[in-house]
Amino acid sequence: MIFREVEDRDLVLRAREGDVDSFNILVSRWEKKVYNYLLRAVRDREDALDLCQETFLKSYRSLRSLQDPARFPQWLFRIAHNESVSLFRKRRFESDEEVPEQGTGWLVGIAGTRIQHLDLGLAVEKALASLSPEQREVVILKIYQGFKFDEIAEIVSSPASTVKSRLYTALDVLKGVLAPVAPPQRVGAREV
Amino acid sequence: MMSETPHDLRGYLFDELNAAERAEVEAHLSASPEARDELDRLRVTQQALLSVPDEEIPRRIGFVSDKVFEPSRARRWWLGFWNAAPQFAFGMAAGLVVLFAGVWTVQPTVTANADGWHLAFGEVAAPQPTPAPALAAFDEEQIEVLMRRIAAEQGELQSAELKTVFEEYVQKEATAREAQYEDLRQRSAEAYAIFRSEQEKLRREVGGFNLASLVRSSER
Repeated sequence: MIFREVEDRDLVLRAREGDVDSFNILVSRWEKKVYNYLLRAVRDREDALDLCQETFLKSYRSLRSLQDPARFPQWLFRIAHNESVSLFRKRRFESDEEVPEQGTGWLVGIAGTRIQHLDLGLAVEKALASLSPEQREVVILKIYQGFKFDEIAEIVSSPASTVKSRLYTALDVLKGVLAPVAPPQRVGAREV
Repeated sequence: MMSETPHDLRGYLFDELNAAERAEVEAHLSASPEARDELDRLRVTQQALLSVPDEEIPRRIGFVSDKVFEPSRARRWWLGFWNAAPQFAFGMAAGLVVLFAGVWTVQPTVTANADGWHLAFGEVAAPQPTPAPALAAFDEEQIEVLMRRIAAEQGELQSAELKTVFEEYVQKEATAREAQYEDLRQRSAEAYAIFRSEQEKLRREVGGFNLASLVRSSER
């Protein structure tokens, strides 16, 4: 992991000097992660792809503003975060659609039942969709991207305590859907 | 009822606790079946989330060499210029040198008169004489006066030319005479040298004979 960070930093330094091949390597290395982060955040492939393209375009143009090249991943995801926030604002402005808040509504029906493996993907997708965009984002950054709390705080421009609170609240919701407490066995019940 | 966990199990799950905090949580887990169940549920949730793999990107992100990433030529120059402090400083210094050299070379002069402001470069030219008015504006008397003036000017010009020719002639004659004089002087010197030579030859032929006495004897 340390070796990887050093490589990223060197590539950033070289790209800053005008070496486009170094930046192309950074794109190849990070495009899948950024795309999946955006896909889970905005839940639309075309939007995710457009935002991913825009993220790398902006990162290339403002590469010199990155003060610490070793923190390229956080910086890159911060740009992607800003892109997703802009899209949410645009969607809200265009459709005035209510973004679902904490998911307790229609997902309650899933709780209390055993989730089959084939349904797991759908269940996860629905569980994530039930979160607010802010909660979903910290879950993605923590679970899928493996960032630390202070790094997530840097990406989303919020205090680490806020990030932790959002994540723990979201995790309780997800736990209720994906790992429900088994209903108590009745005494004398026979298994069929 | 589940006993109170010393630290949040979610922090333990995400490896956000330090070594001492982790040790306290692990001690609590070993003593509390409820805490272990809670941790199991958190792990199941995490595993469920991670069971959905990342998707492959539908199409590759455009590379820097692609047109979409290519900034305009002016923008590339502008970014390169502003982002390189030494180049910027050098550019500014070079610009100042060029500016001062330009001012030194063209020597701009600003003057103001009744016609307004005038910007001139280089040395200010002497005022040009006002051109003569058109001939039609003169009457016959004025034309005659003008022609006389022109004739006088022409005469002065011819006199000046004759004077120049005469001076050149005098100079040429003086040079020729000097050459003749020099020639005469050289020929006189040569004749005298011949005379001296002949005199010496004669003296040797007559021995110690005295030319003066010889002359006197011949007179006798």
